[in-house]
Amino acid sequence: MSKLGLDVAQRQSPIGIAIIFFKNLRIAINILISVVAVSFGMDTSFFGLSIFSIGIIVIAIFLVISFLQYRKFMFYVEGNYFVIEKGLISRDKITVPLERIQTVNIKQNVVQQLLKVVAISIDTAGSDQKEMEISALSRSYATSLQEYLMAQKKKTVEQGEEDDKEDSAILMDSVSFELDIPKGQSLVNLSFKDLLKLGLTENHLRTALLVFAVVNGYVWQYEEYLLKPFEKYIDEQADYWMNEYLILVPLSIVLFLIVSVLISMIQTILKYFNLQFYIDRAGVRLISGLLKRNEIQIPEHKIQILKITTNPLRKLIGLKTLIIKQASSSQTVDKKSITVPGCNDEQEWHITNTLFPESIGDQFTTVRPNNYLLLRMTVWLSLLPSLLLGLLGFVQWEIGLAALLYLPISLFFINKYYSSISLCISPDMISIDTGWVFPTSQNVKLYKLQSVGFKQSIFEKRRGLASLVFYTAAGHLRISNIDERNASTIYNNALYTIESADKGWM
Amino acid sequence: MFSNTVLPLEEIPQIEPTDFQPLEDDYLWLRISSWCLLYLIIGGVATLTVFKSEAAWWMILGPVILLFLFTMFVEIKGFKIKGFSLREKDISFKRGLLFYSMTTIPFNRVQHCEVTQGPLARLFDLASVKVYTAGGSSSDLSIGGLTKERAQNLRDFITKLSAEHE
Repeated sequence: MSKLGLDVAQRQSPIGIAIIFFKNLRIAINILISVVAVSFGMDTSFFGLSIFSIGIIVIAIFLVISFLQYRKFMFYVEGNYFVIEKGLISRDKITVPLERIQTVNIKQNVVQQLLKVVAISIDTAGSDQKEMEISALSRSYATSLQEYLMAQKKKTVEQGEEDDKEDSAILMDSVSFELDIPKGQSLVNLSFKDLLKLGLTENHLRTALLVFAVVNGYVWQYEEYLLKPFEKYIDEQADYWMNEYLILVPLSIVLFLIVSVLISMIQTILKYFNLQFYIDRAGVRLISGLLKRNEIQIPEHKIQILKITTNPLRKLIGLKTLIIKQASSSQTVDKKSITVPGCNDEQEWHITNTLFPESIGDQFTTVRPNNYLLLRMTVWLSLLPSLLLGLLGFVQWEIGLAALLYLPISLFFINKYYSSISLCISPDMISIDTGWVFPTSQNVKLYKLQSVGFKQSIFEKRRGLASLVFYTAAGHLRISNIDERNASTIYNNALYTIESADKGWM
Repeated sequence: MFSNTVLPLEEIPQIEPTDFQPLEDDYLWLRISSWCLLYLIIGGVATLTVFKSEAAWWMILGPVILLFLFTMFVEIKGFKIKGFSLREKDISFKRGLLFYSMTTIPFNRVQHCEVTQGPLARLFDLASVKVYTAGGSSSDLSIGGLTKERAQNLRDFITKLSAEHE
């Protein structure tokens, strides 16, 4: 306490002014470009002032605002509460009970890295809480603040437990807040070569779509500036291009692919540079990133879902991606989860074994969806589209050819997909596998479930089938078209396990 | 067939259809009147379109009427399926004629619980009990069609039981 001086109001490191300034500036520039420059043009002037001098005035104003914002931003501890006060015009006072603090993460973006400060963000239980972030602290201060908050939290919780002495031993065991995840030995380390491999085997299709969406959005927003100068050229060439589309289409596909692969590579390197992943019984911790170094830790008791996934390219080089999800609202679940790309079988086994010891000891029963699912998928996704394409083939023979091609390919994929679906259940956990091209396996401990759903459409009912939905605090798992008697047994069994669990889900 | 290695299956409590209590009959009328209100608006717009356009009236109003009849059929036939079941350790709600769905929330996973009453429900003196979990909005329960008093009792009961697990 004395070192941190939290009993009196504290400000951030003075460098905070610069951090806040850049944050404001980024917002301002975005507005300036999209509103002013685009709608008025670059050579507009207001009141006899050029855009340039207005820019300087705006920057000066922002500097003052940033300084004031820095002055008004204060944080301290009052009793059992951590308090942040901020805001120029409307004074915000965010108060969080120490025991409700869930995780304290340290982050660093480019500016913060250059200026040698870090941001600290405090997550609380409850999704509707305002985000608490202190954006400029020296690293040593941030680390001790992090340790202090976690220690305080532990103390308040223990005090609370001493008050209601009953079963304190059991409670103590289930609410262990130590985050003594070893700092020495990282389980997964990625060399630069590994990063290149991962970048090459990214899901390029997704990257391509993303690039397409971003480019599309920007191009149309700034159409006037980006396309107008070339308009003449484009018009002249258009006719020529139209005739040569047989060459141009493959060419642009190749170009698109190269760009996608490049962007995947850059993304991978930016995101996973110098990745360190620590794991033990207390929880997991991940540090990674080139320009923006992120550190996330999830204590063991907060882990909800372990998702193991891969793609065809990664499967070739024997790597899998592990995603560890913690409790959070659906909008932030991806941001708060830990993604470990490029795990080999041995590392995967180690992680699964540590987080889900049940997966080794328990006896599992496998439940598979009924053949009816295969039939339904075959009819709707393969036969009907082929038939439609085939009919169109009478109009244009190329389309008929496509139908002939589509039928066997779709049948193959549907068959593979259908055979990949399974639900493995033990008295303690469930594991749902889906996907052949993108095989994914999701693991959940039964006592971590929030609620269970039993669904049955009239089609399923006619055939004595049903679907089950398992809701966790980090998303839901679903399996459909399984035997309804099995479904209701699993349903009742899951409820029994949740209700008889003495451990809290979080 | 599914088997459980730790506990004989017969000893795990099963949710039986007979456990479920039906909702107030007035709730059906509430549902019907809110659908009627909606279809009045749609019908009004459709009628206006009939006057404005060249198409025959049945081409525009026909689908609306068919859809209305279908909605009424599903609502009336499906009303008997709606119901909730209160057990010692959990609460369940079931509904759905075409897409049957039953959700159970154990009391040790309830985040909070509240009684809500819309403007139309106030006319019928009915209220809903909403049970929230940390599993997101799709896992929450909303039990409509309870009298205000019954809803408040149910909420107090759930709140009391879930507080024991804090």
